[in-house]
Amino acid sequence: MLGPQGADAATDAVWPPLTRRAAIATGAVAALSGLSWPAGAQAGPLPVSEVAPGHFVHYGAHQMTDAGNAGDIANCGFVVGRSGVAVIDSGGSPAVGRRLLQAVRRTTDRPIRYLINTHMHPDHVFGNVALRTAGDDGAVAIVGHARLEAALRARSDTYLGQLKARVGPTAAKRARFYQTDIAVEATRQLDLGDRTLELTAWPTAHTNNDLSVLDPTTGTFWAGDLVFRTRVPAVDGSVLGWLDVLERLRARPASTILPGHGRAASSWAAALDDQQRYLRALVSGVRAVLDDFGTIEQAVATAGRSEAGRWALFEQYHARNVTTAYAELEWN
Amino acid sequence: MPGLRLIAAAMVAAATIALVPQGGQAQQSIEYNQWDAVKPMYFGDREIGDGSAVLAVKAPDRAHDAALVPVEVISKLGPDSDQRIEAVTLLVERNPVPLAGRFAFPSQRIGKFSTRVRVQSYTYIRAIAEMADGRLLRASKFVKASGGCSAPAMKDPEEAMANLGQIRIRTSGDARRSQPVTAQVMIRHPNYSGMQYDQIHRSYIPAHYVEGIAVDYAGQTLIRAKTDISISENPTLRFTFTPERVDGFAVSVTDSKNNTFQQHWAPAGGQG
Repeated sequence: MLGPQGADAATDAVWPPLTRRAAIATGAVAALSGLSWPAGAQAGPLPVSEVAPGHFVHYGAHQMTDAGNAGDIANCGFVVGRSGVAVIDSGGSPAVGRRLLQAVRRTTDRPIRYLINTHMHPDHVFGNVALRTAGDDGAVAIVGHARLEAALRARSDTYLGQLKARVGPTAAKRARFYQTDIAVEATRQLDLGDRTLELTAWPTAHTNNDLSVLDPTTGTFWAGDLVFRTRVPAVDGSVLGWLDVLERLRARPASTILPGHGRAASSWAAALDDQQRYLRALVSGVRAVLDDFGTIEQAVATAGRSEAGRWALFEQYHARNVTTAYAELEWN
Repeated sequence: MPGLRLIAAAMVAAATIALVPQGGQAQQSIEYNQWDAVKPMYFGDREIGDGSAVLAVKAPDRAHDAALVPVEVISKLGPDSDQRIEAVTLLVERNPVPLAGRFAFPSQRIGKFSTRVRVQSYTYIRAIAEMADGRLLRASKFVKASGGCSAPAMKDPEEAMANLGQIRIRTSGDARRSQPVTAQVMIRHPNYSGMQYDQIHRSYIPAHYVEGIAVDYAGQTLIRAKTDISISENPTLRFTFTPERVDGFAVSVTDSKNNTFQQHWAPAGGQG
């Protein structure tokens, strides 16, 4: 168990200096260590599909992170514009990030300009080290919600510990956390030459640092984990806030919606109906227990059970979602 | 400073554990047993007996959220028993500060009470009853959870301080004379453990936690709790007692920065 001082040292050790020069130096180290990265079943470029012109997505597995999947459990991908590439999320380990980089390189020789992190969760950011250092003229700019870096700093020890336990010590040794180079407070545009990506930083929903990416020229909306399909949603922010944000998403023009987990959807109804039903069942189930002066354990036993069987990994996440919702709703 | 000494002792205990190879579940709970190291911190060389006839501890086998683990202590003594529990000390044995709280019941029997604790690693949770006749009796529950003490405070930290010190008091239906009633005291407080990292200032958030909760009913103190950082954020205390008359609650909360928060609650039907 780490006391405050031990944890402090660990955090500083993994958080690299923030200057561009230092980032390049880190890149050199990563490039060298890359020579010895293991090959095997997980080697080679991540399979990607072009779901809209210039938009390439890789679908992660609906599994818990383990050594077998190396954290390849969330969607990630990239947008190829005329002047460069924006990568959106990086997978759940340095190895997955490296395979995503290979997929980019197989698709285009245009430079990677941006690495957009849709939120703090480890299955979306632990590949950062592979992509951050892949820029042709220096570091790739990391783009995130204005609260992303803060949220990562608060959790870096926990996330590294989990990565080590679930994927392995090598993954944890290679993983790096980075400062957000472009912090989005509300909205921001990223010019890729033939298209301009529109980024939106949302109020607390799935987490307190959710960021979405819209390409208006193709109507492609990268929702990150604001949208879950097939895999049960995980509440790590505010269930009420999330329901509010989902209503606001429906007003956005989009013909292709890319969830953080699950397949692309061609309408907001297809993207959101199941998820809204789940979150509403969670809220109403917990409220019923609270109104009856019930406990957390009673809520876990009853709330949202009608959703069992409708989602992958339901039993792995639902009880925690109920606990989180209970703690939120007893005061709200 | 006693707090530091306790942390040091607990860390030694944790280091010892790390050297023990993992076995089956029963084997594990034996290996995670740190009672011999923790007990002297709070009870010196006093004898502590088996409390299974007097009280029980309930908690989930595996916590859903390590920062929010519900723990219930149930008295097995009937209303006419000649034994009385005067106080219960709740320990999360392998936490950096094992003491969650000491809950004293100076005026009357409390049938059961529950709160929520942080759990840093697989651990026994112990409830030690101080009996009116001077005996100390222990009940235990093994809980699988990890990371609860250093888990980031609040899903939304900006909200945490804005609501500091709000108190709510609820009861399960109307209190009736000589009928058991369950009441809950809820306190909005981040209960910073000192092990949580402040992202903005790149340093550890200083410990800032609820130290004392006094719950009075009908002018008598029902519960006087002395609490520490193992209690979850937004501390709650839920308890069952049998009022001798219908009356109101008064709750007073103090924290480690010498803030005092108070709240009163009167029954809807008035006093009687």
